[in-house]
Amino acid sequence: MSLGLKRELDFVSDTLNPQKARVLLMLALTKTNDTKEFQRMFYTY
Amino acid sequence: MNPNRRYQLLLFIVSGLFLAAAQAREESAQTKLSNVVILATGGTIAGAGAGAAASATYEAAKVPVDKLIAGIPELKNAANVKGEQVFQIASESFTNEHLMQLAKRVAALAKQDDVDGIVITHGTDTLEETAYFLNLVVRSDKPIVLVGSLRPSTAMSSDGLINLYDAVVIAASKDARGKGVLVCLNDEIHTARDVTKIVNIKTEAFKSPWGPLGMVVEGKTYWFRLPAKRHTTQSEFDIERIDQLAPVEVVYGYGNMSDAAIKTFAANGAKAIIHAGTGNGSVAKSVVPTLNELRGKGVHIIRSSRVTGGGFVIRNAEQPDDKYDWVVSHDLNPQKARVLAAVALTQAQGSKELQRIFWEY
Repeated sequence: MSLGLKRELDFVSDTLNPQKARVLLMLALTKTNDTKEFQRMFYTY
Repeated sequence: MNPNRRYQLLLFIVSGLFLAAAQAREESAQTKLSNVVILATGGTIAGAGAGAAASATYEAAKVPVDKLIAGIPELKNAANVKGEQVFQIASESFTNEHLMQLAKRVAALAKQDDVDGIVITHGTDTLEETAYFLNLVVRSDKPIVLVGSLRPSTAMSSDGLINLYDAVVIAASKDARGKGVLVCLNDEIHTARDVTKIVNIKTEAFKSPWGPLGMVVEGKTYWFRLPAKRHTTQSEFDIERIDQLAPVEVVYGYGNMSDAAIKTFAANGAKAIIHAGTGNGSVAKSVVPTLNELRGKGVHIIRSSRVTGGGFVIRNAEQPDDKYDWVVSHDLNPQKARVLAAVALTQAQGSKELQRIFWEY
């Protein structure tokens, strides 16, 4: 279970399970394409 | 002293000597340590972090097995321990080839008279899959115990040392024989078939939906129940007769599910698709036609559940499995259903035979 992201484009779903991460990402994609912005949203929501 | 009395005294002394000898034999049998081989494959238990506070960010698969063993002086009181480095990888990167190489080594060691038990250190991510695989294909009643840790040995309050010690205790114990492949973390002894990783950031990461088999407390095993399904010596599968596992893939069920992954897996040669369905192993209306089309082409469709606390799939409930000629995974989670299908399809080809195997193992 080693964590740690190596690539710029990766972001983590925090504690959301895959089916919830899908729902949030669908909404996020209506606003932005920026991975840093996605990551902020995943930590915020 | 009359001759009769002298005879009685002689008899008393001789029988006393016999008793003392028998007692000494028993004591030496008790103090004779079991021989346990630790097969190391990597993972967090062999991980190293930058400092003692790094319990989740670290590099897995760094510490060699001899260093792990040397770090636990108490091991020498539990067994004669010998280490062997098989791989040094994080467990998410385990392949079918890794599974088979490991199983063949375990089977060979289990045949040796000078090996009483085997411990396998493993990353926790796919530990349950490897454990279940060995449970299906290694024909031995000797204790085989998989162990990992959630925190690297360099972290504060690492669980690696106690878990490895407990695993050696189990592998050295005669009570653990014949109970199938076992998994030990957090003081609990689980059957390889049932146990699953339910949480990744806590040390109580492994649970069996129907409860653990027992506990290890202060270097002693305590047992409460036995596995009900076929395993190891009772298995119809044997690693010595398996050279290649069948290609089996898993698709995940969710709202608005598409059939794109299913089609891609089938196009790439999957012989079976494990459908990690919602709830009771339900399948979205939108993907049923694709699954049936593939079944017509010989691909097995196996319904499992994505539910993590013990998914239970009942045949012909939610979907008409008899009519569609599908298989249900019983209570096996999607990743374990993959392992069983990959093993079963090396022999069985028909869906009835496959369903029997899913009920029995």
